[in-house]
Amino acid sequence: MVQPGLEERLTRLVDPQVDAVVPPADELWQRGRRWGRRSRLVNVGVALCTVALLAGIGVWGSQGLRHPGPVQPVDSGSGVGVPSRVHTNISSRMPYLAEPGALVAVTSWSHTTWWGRSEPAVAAVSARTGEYGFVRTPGMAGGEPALSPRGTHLAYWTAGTPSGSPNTTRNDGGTLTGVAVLDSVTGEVVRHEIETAHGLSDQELFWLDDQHLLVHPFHLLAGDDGPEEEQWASRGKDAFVLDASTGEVSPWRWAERLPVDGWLRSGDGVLVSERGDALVNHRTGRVLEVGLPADPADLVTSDGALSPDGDVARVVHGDKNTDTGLTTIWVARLARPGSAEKWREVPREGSYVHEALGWRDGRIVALTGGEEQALILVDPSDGEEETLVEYVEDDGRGDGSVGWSWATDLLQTADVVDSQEPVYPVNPLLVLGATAAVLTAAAIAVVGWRRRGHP
Amino acid sequence: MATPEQFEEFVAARFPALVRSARLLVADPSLAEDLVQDALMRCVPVWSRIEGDPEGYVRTVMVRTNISRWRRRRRVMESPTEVLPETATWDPEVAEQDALRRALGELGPKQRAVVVLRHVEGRAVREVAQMMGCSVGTVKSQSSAALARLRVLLAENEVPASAPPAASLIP
Repeated sequence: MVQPGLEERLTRLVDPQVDAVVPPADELWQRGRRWGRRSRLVNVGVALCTVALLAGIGVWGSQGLRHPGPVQPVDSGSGVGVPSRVHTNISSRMPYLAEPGALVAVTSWSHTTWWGRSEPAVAAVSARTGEYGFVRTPGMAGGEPALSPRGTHLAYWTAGTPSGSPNTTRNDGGTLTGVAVLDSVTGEVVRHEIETAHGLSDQELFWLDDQHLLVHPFHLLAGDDGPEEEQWASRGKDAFVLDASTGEVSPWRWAERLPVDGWLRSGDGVLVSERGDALVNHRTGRVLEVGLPADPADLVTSDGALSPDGDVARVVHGDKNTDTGLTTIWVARLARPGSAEKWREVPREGSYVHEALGWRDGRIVALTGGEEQALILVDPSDGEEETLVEYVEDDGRGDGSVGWSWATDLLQTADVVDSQEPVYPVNPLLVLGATAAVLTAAAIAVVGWRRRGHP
Repeated sequence: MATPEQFEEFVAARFPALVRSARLLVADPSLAEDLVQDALMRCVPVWSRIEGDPEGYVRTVMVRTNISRWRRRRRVMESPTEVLPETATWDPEVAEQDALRRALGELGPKQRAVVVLRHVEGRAVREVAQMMGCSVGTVKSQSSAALARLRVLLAENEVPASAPPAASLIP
């Protein structure tokens, strides 16, 4: 029941009878002053603790933002260098390289933004400073990038809208419909769209030299609404060469006579078909009447390396009779058809070799696999090995292991220089959270003390 | 400028009045005195900076201190009695005020402060908001809720005027 006149009754509420004894005011004054001093001490103490904790968080949070060592141009006469060590575990929160310049190694790697969103990106090691960082690749839509031999250009796939129904199952970053080339020195990007019905597979990009990119687009056979088995199938056609400076496109002139994939490259424009049946100069258009000796053993082989002197090295995996996992390195010289030149196995009992990447001062640059990755130099005459680039494995700081693709000409010619360490930035949300926690704790401490503190 | 002497004068002059107000804010008489002393001591460090009559400042500190210490205090003191104390005489006016005071004691500290400041002491809404450190809207909503709650409490504990407690009838 609601009783009427409550507000009026409240106004008539008389003060209760109070027989309080007035306390000694001087005592209240002294106690008040002591409480004031304690209050100031608590406030100062909490403030000092807060500042110390925030400073600690600041140091912790900024640790991964700076390079451990001074970032300076590499100590090399050519201005570019190959690092003596390379880290395979890197952070997805690395900053972008401010001035990339020539790159010595790249890898496809997700970049994690400030708010934790992942986007396709390219991580790189600068040949100019040895720094690790991401390279700005506008429009990149995933797939493996291709680094030019001297590291000045980076080719990657871009997404767009195909003419037919798009295929979105092959690539997380969108339907591939074009290719772009970043000039890592100037930062300029050349883009070229490829007419395609359903999208492209992320193959093949091959640098003929530092300016010319051979693109052999593999067109997906079906879009999302097509037969499932065809959504994962593709067919290569209409290879072309993209001029990285001008963006001009010209048809691949060897399309009919020679295959467009499986080339060995050496020097300016000299190519050898991996099958060893032709040597061409893509610039002059000449087909030279030289090639490689017959295949060493009809074995599974990886990419090979061609030296300026005409020496070819290839890694053979396994044995044609026993699939043992054995790897051997074979070398041969370019030879005219019908010559007696033959492949020769390099005598060695070293580590597992993944592939041959080039030739450096008469020795083969090879990537070892297995537990101890490294770039090694192998003497083709006696198999003697020497480490060129040491791979630093997981030390628990990165977000995952990557496989670097190298600027092969730099591996063959650039000086080996001291390496930099990658940076491992702390998750900024953690820093924010810790800062908020400290400030909240400080506020709770002060307010709680003032509430509970009895003068 | 305020001095310890002025503080002493203020305490001597206004302590009983402050305790009377505090008695409406907290049910326990000893805690009411404790609240006033607490508020006065909290004012000491800033006494010299208080401009004009310090009473308003002291009352503001008293109200806010009472609210902020409520959680700690309620565990030891908020135990309103279920049965009206027996009185030797029956005065309907006194009984009504007792019931009102008891109902006030069952309100939360914020609602009680709003009722006391706004309706008992007759302060303006804006002044109440300033004293409690909250918005005018909060004062209005707390006031509305407090009055509704008071009406319920008073209805539950209503003592019929025609039926005085048996104890008062015993000679």
